[in-house]
Amino acid sequence: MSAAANTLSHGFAWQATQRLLRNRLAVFGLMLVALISFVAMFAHWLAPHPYDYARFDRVLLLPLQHPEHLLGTDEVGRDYLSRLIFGARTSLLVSLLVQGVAVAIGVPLGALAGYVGGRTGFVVSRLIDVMTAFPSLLFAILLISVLGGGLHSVVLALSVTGWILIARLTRAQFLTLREWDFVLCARALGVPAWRIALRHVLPNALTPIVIAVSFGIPATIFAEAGLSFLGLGINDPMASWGKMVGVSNAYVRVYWHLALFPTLAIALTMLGCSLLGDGLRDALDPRHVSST
Amino acid sequence: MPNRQVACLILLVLAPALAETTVGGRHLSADAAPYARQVLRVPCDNTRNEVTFDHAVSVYQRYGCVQDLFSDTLVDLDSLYRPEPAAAESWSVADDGVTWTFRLRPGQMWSDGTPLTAHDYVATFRLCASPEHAWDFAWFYSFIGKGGLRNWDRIVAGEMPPDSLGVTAVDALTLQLVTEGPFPAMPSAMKFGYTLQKRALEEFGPYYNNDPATSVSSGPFVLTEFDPGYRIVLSANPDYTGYRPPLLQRIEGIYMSPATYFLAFQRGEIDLVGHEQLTPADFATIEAEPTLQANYLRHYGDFRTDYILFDTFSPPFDKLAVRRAFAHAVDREAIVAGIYGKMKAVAAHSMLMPGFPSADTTGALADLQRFDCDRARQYLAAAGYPDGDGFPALEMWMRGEPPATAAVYQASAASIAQCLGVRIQVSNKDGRVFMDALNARPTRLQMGAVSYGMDFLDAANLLGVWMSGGRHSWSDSTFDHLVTSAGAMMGQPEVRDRMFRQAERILVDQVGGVFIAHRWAGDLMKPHLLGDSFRQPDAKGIAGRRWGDDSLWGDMYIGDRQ
Amino acid sequence: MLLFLCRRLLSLAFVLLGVSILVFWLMHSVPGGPFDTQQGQLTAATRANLEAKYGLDEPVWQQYLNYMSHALRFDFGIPYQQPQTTVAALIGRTWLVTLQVGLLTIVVAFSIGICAGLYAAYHQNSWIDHLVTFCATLGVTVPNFVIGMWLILCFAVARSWLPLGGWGTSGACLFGRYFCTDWILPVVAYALAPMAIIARYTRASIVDVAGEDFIRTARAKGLSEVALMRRHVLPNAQIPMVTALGTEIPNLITGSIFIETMFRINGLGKYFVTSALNRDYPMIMATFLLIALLWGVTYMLTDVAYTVLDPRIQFSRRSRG
Repeated sequence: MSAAANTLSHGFAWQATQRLLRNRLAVFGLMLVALISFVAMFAHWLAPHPYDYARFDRVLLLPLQHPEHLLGTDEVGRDYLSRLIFGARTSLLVSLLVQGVAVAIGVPLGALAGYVGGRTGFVVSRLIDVMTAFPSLLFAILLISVLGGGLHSVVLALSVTGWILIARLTRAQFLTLREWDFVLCARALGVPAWRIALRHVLPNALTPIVIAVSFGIPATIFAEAGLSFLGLGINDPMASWGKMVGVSNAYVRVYWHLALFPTLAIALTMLGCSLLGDGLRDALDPRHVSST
Repeated sequence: MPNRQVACLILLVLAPALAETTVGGRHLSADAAPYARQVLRVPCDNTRNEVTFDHAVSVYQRYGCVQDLFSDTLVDLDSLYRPEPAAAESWSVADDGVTWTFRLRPGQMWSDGTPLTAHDYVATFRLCASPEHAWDFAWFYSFIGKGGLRNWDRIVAGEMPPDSLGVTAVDALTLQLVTEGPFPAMPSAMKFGYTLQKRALEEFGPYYNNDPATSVSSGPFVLTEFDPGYRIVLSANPDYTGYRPPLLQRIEGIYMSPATYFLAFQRGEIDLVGHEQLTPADFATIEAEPTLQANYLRHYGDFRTDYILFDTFSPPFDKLAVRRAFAHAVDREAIVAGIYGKMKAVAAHSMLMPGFPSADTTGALADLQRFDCDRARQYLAAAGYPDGDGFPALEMWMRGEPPATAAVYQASAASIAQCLGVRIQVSNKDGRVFMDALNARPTRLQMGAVSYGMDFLDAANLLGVWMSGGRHSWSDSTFDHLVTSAGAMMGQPEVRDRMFRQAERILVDQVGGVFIAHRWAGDLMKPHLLGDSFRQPDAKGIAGRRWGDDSLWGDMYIGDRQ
Repeated sequence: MLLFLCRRLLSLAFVLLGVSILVFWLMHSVPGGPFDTQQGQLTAATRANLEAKYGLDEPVWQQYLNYMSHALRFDFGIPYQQPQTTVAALIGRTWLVTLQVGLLTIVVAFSIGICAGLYAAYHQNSWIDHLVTFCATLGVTVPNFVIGMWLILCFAVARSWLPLGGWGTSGACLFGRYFCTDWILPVVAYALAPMAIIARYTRASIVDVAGEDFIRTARAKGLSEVALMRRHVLPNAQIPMVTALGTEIPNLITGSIFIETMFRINGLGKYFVTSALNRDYPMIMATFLLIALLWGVTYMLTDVAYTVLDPRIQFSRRSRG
């Protein structure tokens, strides 16, 4: 039995990968994500200038106004392309970390609330209710004074409330799916609850979670920018896309490039993650499991 | 009938002239629009927290677009910032140097028909000092001279009743103020001598001006419409008998987001925009268009200076060589030219902006903090950090600055970092967290970038904030002695001036702070907003509204649009 | 059902209590008080007077008990930012406006979002589908101040078609102060992001269900597409949709500080941010209790919706297996 099961799971992973690679949109998304990750990892080599080097005679140059600055310069005189490249690092790191934590906390809690039900589910659901009204702005200000700035503070501040929506979505999915026939069958067969939840219900519940994560990425990037305006978050001169967009508010009517490029970068990241996420969900969809 | 025809004829002839007089009886000039169109529209900030019109109720939470028009101050400041009569027609000081007598201009009335008396001023000062009112500007009257107004501190602390305050009414038209120590700049300080009405205070409390039904004014305007968050309308006070009868018929304050002031201006909804709400993109647009550029009127504002401060009681900034290295590493001229813009600032080498009393205009202090990267590196090496090796990584804090100012401070930090090879990160902190850290004893703020503008026009103010025990973690006993003595000196203006200049030299030489820029203020006005007091350049060639010159409300009018 | 509702309302009360303790403790732990100003400092005596006046010199637990004893009598105190009015009056006045903005935005965002999502799901993998995905991405990533600014520039400054701002205060209106031209720009700017989110969740939920075996079976049995959609696809797709869409509603009816300041709407949205920044303790407490109440009711209603949409879901059963 176990040998057959092993063959089945090995085949499943292989089939899933094949399905993923056949999905053109998913491959496009994968390439986008890979490209952005590559840029983030090799920023030092890719960036034409240091991201913090300021020249006060080259302030607010528009793209291509100066041969050395392809995307122009920012309000302090730093090369915008380089800042965009280094910004990928911060933005990707923060958004992926926070979303990762959100999934790691939100999915188990939501599954608990939705699948187990009863008193445990009730308590966990009420916990989610309380945390929804959590004052994240105040908490962020408190963190500024206690922990100081820096990446760890940002991730902590954003993770405290980032998991709630995912927990709610997971809970809703588990509430529905636990009544479906295949679950009743598995239960009748004596399969333990955790196994049902993990191997049977969860793969079917992925869709809204994947979307929530893909929306969560730009949301996290902008939330990090908002925290930077309070002094929590990464400090200047370090770059992050969200902060670059936020600062561009005062300049956008004339110096449009300050808003355009980081927005494009965020949009491309989100697009890549959405397409990849959709593709992954499709590939992992248990309905496609062929019988052996 | 002939009489009626004659009457009609006379009316027809006089009608244009009649239309051209204000409610106060003044005549509008030939280039003015008809009186019905003498309406000034100003933008009000809908993101600010505002509770009152009056200075005496709250200074930092006033309806900023239409503040302080319900009374005249005791003095006004002329084009050379000297005190001139406003609500007070004359003043004198007794030989003891602490007793000031202000004689009020007779005949001033409140809009409810009662006369303005010195008792109103006394009631206002007592309100400001009372602990229950907890006035947010209370620090000012303990700060003037040595010890402030008599008994002010003790009353604010609740140790003495408000009527023991050193402000009394000798008679209905004579006000007497007594300070603890001599304070020669008292007349200028009375630019803040606003008053509320004693009767209204007793009957309705300090917020009586927030309702047109209970509002009373002795100033050029009265409150006609009050819809906070949307609109405020003031109308010319027909019973005004003061020194600045208005030519305008109405002032309308329209609430909007500061980000949209310039848009509203372009659309023609408002007539003026202050420099603080003009973004760098707006300035680029202004500079590109000749009409706009010609109607951007620059003035000194509150002589605000941007500078970097340090905790000089702890390493590494306890070493003078380190501070000097930092001072010489900031490329002010390039930062002002490239980032600030020449329209908005001028490079600063000291605390006092040229144009301020006792400011250095000859460049004598320019050398002490001049941008010189080689010299800066030498200082740093002499302090024990050659090429920045071993220098601790720094975090410079800013106090909730908007993006344009933040860019300037970031540039200053970048200039230092690039010249000296040290690592400086810049963090824009929430305002209260910043002040909390700054005011903690011992201070928790190692390096910060701030600005300070004057509260009254005297070097004792701008240099006084650098004295020991104040907000700055820097101390020099000679400096303290010079500023305190000069601040209290009566007569001998040349000696006083020399002492202030000596003190400033110490401040700059010992690098209490690294001075970056002095700000130019300014207003962008519609071409039809006219008035000699701000359209005609003064002796220094500066046009524009001057701080402390409220007589412009008697001078401003709307020209006939083409 | 009635028992269920009663139980939930009771637990809502406990949730509110929990939130009140959490928020109260947190806001008093944050450095900086309500009375520190930026240019001049308060004298120590003045600060002491103010703190005594507002009861801030007592220990925190005592202040909490004071606050709760008043709150239970519906006396939520006086906002430090606006001492001339009460918290209840301020929220009542401003929230009324925000509600109008929010409800209108909900109608616009939901109707367009659901239609777009439906259409995209129906034409899966066509150019329409890709367009919807692309627009949804833009709608969420383009910052709302850019959208707001360009809307104002295009429609209010470059051409004076629409007013620059206000809510029922400027521009032409249909019924008195309702359905005015100055409603258009803020609602459009505010609805773009929720519209994108709703479209994507709708499309994905429907595509998810449409791929199920029982749908294929039903189609093979000869059921028409419309009937298929109505009787089999939509009911099952609605559970995740209700969750996601339900989340948007409390967000939208509590307003956005940005939309309200930019378009000159005197609403409640800005107080959520300014109260925290100004350390306005009564307003902070009141706004967070309001949020907790709104979300608690939303969660309760979505749970009710689950049981209505899928009768197999029950909350009262004990755990099995």
